[in-house]
Amino acid sequence: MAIDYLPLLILVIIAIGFGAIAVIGPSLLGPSRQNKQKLEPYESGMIPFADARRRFPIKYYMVAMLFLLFDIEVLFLYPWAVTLRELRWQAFAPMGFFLILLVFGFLYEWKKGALRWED
Amino acid sequence: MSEIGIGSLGSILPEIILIVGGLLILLLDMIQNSTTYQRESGRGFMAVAVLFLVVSLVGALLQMLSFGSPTSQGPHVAAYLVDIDPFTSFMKMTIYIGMTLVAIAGGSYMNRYSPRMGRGEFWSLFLFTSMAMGMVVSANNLILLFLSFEFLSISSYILAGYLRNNVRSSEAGLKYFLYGSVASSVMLYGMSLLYGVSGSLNLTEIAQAMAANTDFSIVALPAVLMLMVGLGFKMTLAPFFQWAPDTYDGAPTPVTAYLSTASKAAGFAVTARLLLIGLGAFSVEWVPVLSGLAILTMTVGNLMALRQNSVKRMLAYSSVAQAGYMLMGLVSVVSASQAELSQIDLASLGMNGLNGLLIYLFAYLFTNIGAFMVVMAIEEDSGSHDISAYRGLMQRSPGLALAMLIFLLSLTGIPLTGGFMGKFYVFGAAVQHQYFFLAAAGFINAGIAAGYYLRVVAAMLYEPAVDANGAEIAPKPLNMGMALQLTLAICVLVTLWIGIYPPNFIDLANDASRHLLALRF
Repeated sequence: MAIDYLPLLILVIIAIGFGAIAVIGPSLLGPSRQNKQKLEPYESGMIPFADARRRFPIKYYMVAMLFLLFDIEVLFLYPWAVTLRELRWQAFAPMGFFLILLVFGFLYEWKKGALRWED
Repeated sequence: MSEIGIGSLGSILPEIILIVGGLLILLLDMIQNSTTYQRESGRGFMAVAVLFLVVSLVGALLQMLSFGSPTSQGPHVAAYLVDIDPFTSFMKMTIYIGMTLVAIAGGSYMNRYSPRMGRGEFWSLFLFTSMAMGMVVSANNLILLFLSFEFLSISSYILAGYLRNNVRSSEAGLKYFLYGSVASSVMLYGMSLLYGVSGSLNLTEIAQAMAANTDFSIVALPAVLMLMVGLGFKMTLAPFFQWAPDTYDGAPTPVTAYLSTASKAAGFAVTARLLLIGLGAFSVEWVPVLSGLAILTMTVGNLMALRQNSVKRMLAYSSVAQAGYMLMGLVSVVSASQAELSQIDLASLGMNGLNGLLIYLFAYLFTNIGAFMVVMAIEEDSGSHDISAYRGLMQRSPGLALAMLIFLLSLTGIPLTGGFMGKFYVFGAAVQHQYFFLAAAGFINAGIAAGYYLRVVAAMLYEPAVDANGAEIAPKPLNMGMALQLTLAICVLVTLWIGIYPPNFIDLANDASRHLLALRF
């Protein structure tokens, strides 16, 4: 039985080996001519203009977190919507309960002012 | 495995009640307008929270009574994902009682110090935490177990760092979070190993699948090691305990009180269920791991506690050390000599280790919550946790000093207190199952522990009261609320009750432990 997992072990070894070669190989084989442009961090083609370690408005994190929450909720809805026709009430009722809870959470954050951007 | 229906919701009734309570508090918090908000004392939320905790406590009690008389083998209700048996009920009762006591005694403290915006949220989180603990002790499915374990951890992180304006509290929450997230992910990896070989998430089915094919035993040891990282974090076992002193010290005292008792009890219940039911056949693998951890935990906890001057921090390290004794109970479930293992019917033994663990957890819950409540009272009076703040307590508030004396004696394990009964049953089981080395380590450690507990006793009873500069002052009594006095009285009474006349209670613990051992594969 343990032999069945041999491919997994081989995969791990290949993955580590590939990573190691990709890092060590170029530094041994390739020429190393460094200049200012090459050493700059790659920012999707943009020229970096300031340090990334600066203060963000805390509101940004709040919105990002809330977005994540509701994004994941949509993720739950997809498989549910596909199988709803077969499972009928057995799937409808729990999801309805789940959505009510989410709406409750949404109302709570709204009322608490988490969505207010301007003070 | 039965069909999921509305009827099976009855098996999680106490948890449903707590969820409803938590949501109700959020709703009440939401519908307030901003003018009444400024005057909100949080007392109303506290009343709702305590009410719902008590109702769910009654629900758990009804579940327990539905199993019949304590000595008979009650029916075993296995719903789809949860096990409702005497063991679960015992743990649920323990946890809900602990949470109720903390809510009653620590409520006004939390309402006073927590940020004005977050008083409702504190109480709803408190109920959700209690719910998560109730779920985690009854889960027999790895997914539900992990989910409720995480739910418990995440709401505890928030509660530990609840005093946002207090640096120590924020530090407590952050350290707890960083340790906890790593520990949980390692535990999840261990669970995935179990699922990988057995193809099932149900603990009983995992045990059957593991027994059916001897090749699977190869994953038992790695799985146990990884599971113990996550579980050891929750139980504050030695290599994973570094968060505990800082978190217990920095967190608001009521939160510390439940983290070190109810949350830890939940951790032990999960460990017992996972190891005994899921991996019961592999005790050869986990017994050495657990006994090593037990010795390490009690030694490290005790040696560190000796050096502390802050009583709150000393109790934090003592809580680590106590976890080591409790783990001894879990080790002693299995006999040291493997030859006997097949012949002895474990469930028939008077000291089967597991009942020692349960008695220990129950007695420790009342003792430690009481001790932390005394710490809270002193903190509110003097603003300090230092041992000098405890000097002359006997002249200032004799009642408080005597209560603390009883708690400290119980933590030391002096006869006629609950702590002694716990130690008696745990050490007894260790000797009976021939873990002489473990028992010896336990005895030596209990001796060391007396040193630092009695230091506080000496300061309370024999030293005059001093102010912050060390100058003697006239003794003046402490201000204590009714709720705090009531809770302390309950804690003292239960600690003494278990120590002096425990038969009824021990029957309950026996019944609970036998049930889990009977399920053992």
